Amino acid sequence: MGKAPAKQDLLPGTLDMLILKALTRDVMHGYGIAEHIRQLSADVLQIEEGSLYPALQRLELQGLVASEWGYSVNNRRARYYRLTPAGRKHLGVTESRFARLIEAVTRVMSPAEPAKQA
Amino acid sequence: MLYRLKHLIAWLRRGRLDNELREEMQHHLELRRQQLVADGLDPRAATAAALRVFGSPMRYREEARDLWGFPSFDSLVQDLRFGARLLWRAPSVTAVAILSLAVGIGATGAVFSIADAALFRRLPVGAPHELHEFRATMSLGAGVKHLNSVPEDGLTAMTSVADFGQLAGFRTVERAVLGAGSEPQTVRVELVSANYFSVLGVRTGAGRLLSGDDARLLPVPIVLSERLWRTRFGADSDISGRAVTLNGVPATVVGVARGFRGVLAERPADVMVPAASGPLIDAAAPPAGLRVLVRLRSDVPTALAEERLARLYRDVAPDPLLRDADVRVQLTDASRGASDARQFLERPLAIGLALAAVLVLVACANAGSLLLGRFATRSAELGIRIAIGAGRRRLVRQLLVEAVLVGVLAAVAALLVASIAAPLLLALIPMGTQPLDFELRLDWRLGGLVAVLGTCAGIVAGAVPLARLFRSDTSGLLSAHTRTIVRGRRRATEVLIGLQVACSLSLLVAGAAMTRTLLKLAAVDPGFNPSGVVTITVDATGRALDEPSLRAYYAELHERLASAPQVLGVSSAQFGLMTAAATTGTIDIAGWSPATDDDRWVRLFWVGPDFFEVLGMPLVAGHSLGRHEEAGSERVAVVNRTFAEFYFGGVTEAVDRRVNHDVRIVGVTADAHYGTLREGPARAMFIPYAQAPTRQVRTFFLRTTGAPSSAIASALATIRAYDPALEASGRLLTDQIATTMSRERFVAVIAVVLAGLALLLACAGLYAAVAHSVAERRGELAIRLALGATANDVLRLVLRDPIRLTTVGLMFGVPGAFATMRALSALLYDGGPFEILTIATCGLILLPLAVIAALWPARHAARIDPQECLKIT
Repeated sequence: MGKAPAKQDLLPGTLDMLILKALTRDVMHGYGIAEHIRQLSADVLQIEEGSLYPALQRLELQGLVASEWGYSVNNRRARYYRLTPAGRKHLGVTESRFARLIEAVTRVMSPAEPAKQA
Repeated sequence: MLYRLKHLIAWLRRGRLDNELREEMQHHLELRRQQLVADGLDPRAATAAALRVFGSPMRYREEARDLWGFPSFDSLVQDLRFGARLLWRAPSVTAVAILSLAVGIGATGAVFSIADAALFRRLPVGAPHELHEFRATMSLGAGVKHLNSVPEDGLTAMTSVADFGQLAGFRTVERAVLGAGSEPQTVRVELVSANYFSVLGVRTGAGRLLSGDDARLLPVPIVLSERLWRTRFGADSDISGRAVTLNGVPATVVGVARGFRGVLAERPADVMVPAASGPLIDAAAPPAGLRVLVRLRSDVPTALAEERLARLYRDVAPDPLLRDADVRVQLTDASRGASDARQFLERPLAIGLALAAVLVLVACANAGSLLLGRFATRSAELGIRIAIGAGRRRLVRQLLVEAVLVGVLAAVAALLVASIAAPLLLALIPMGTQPLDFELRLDWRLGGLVAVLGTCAGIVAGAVPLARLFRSDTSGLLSAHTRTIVRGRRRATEVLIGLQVACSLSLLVAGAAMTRTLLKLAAVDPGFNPSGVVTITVDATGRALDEPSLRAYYAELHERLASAPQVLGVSSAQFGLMTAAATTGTIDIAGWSPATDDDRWVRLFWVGPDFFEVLGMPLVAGHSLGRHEEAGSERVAVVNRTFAEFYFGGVTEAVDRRVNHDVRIVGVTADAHYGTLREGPARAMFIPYAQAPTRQVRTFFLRTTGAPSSAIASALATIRAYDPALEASGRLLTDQIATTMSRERFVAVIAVVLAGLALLLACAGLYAAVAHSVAERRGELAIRLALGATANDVLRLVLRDPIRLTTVGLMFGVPGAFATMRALSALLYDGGPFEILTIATCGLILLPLAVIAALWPARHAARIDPQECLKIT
């Protein structure tokens, strides 16, 4: 079974980073994470919400998030995810790497401007 | 590492995880739907919109599922289940494929298990490679005696002096009655020397093993084999100390030997008894020596040990005459136990395995063509799978898994076939007076071989449709009836059928050649009349008589035997006929010089009175040896035709001539076969016993009437009545002759059986192929019939290919058949032009059989009703 590229144009691994970042402040369930990303990105990042779930499973297997079942505000069973210490550390690493990447791309795209100090 | 562990745990819980994920996704969708409705969307549209934003839950669930556990393993399990289901849905094809493979592999397994028991299996003792069997050859003058036993006290003496290794002695008692509670049971007993168990290094299963302290105790201490302990005594842990009787003698079980059944491979023993108690257990038998196994010290070269043993043996030899003899000792490898039959079985078993391998090839080809046929019916399914994205590799794995599944199932069935066929085959090998009782085990070796063969056969058979898969493109698979596809498939089937025919020819040729050999051997006139003749071999070595007493002893025995019931006539010679034993001597004739040294050697027979009459050897000139030739009178001899013609130019010319100074030839007898039925004519001279040196060993020939077994029994009884201490054994001369053909018979049986199986498979394959072809071509044939073709025309059309195929297959099989005959040449009676004749005959047998096999489905072709057939198509 071939893997078709995800609908969003995210670089691979970025989705994981977005999820981890979303979880830094709060414990959330899948829908909450999707909403968080949608709202903060002002609808620019159109990700297929379903793709969050395999990503969450992967993160959980890697030990970067942990999950447990609880009850939502309207008393429905929901699974809540939280960041683990390892996840927090991983997020830091990924964040800085991503920032360097963005900076490099920016530099290439606008050579006339003087290089900004990082 | 933890990652992998988590994967494993996730895999184990995957059902639950999947449910949880589904619930989670549903919750998500519900929340999204609610949000959309809150934003003002119509509820139904909201559901669809939520789904659209979400993406495909199924797809993401699958993605998640792939994360749990090991996807490759999962798909393998999937393939297995799918394959099993498919096989289940086409039961007849599957059954035939499995059956043909099972037959081929089972036959190989049967031959292998005999070979394993006879040739490969090592003794379950410590360091078996250090064990050697003792065999001695004593030559004195013109006589050579082969011995392999040592008297008991002689062995003790030798053991104390032997510094090159350790000696263990044993003797087999064929039948003894073990009484233990309920029913008495017949067991085979091995009498063992004091240090037997320690020298061999047998492991203890329970209790203890026999040692030097166990000699001459009552009740007799015995050790059981593990097998007997399990079957008769229920693996009772309290076996030590159990009271039993052995041939009526009270005995105590002191322990169990683990995995051990004595050292004689073809006659495994279940009870081990100290040799010192032998006379108690085996009261009727005369005292006999023990056979010896030597465990050589690793730093001692075999030749040195043999030399030392020869010197030691001479000192303990019971026959005083042999103290002056030239003794040579041979230590043969006994890592697989002692065996008399092993050397005769090596060649036949090797041939048997080779023939069985050919049968496996036929079976593989058969299964392969069946799987190919199945593949053809599935080509649409496979084409679709490729079209929607299945990788080639996945399909290959699928097909391979199916084929290997067939192979594995066939292997299981083959185990059943082998376990039934092996004892049957063993029962067909007569070798000597004692039965071949090799312990055939269904153990991991046989299981491993069968499993490997099954898997390989499955892969080979599966490779055929795989090759088709690689050769064809997707559109070709989808439209399975294009000409190229059909032609390609037909070609593959043709090759397979041709292969089967070629291999079957080889097997058939082997069977025919061996059968012909057996028939020819049976038709050979031995030169004497063996029917009703009983041969009794006696050995008076233990009596230690000097020559004159020995003469009188045997003369008296001769008279006794002559008056035994059922006996018509008695004679004797120093060795029996049709045995390997022979005496040779040189001839001197006055005025004649030999062209080569070889020309002086002749076979010598020292015969008692009435020898030629009792054995039915006709005289062609002169007269026979009478009773009157005694020591002191003129030395006379009878020679055979070859002798007379070689030295004197003719039969009548030889009478009254003298050889060796003063021996007068009184008569000439017709030629006969003395050693084997295959040997050419040999020069032989017959000298009366009275004028020959007397030997301890003698063979009596009794011409008897009535039932042979009772004749033997009463003759042995007469001997026992005469002298209970005399070692004697008797058998029919016809049995002795049959023994010389044992190897040929064994190979013949295997070859014929395998040839029959191969023919069956080949014909079945041909039948299936023709039936398939007819089914495929129904439309075409119906049109032909409608246009005016007769039934015969259609028949001829359908049969044209199978006949062509069989002929081509036969042609390709001829080199293989020649090679087979070459491999069998040592066992065949005569070669040369008969090779071609045999091959041609087998081909002429195979062709009609193949035609009949093809005719059956072809008749259906002739009976096609064109109207009905064309209406459907």
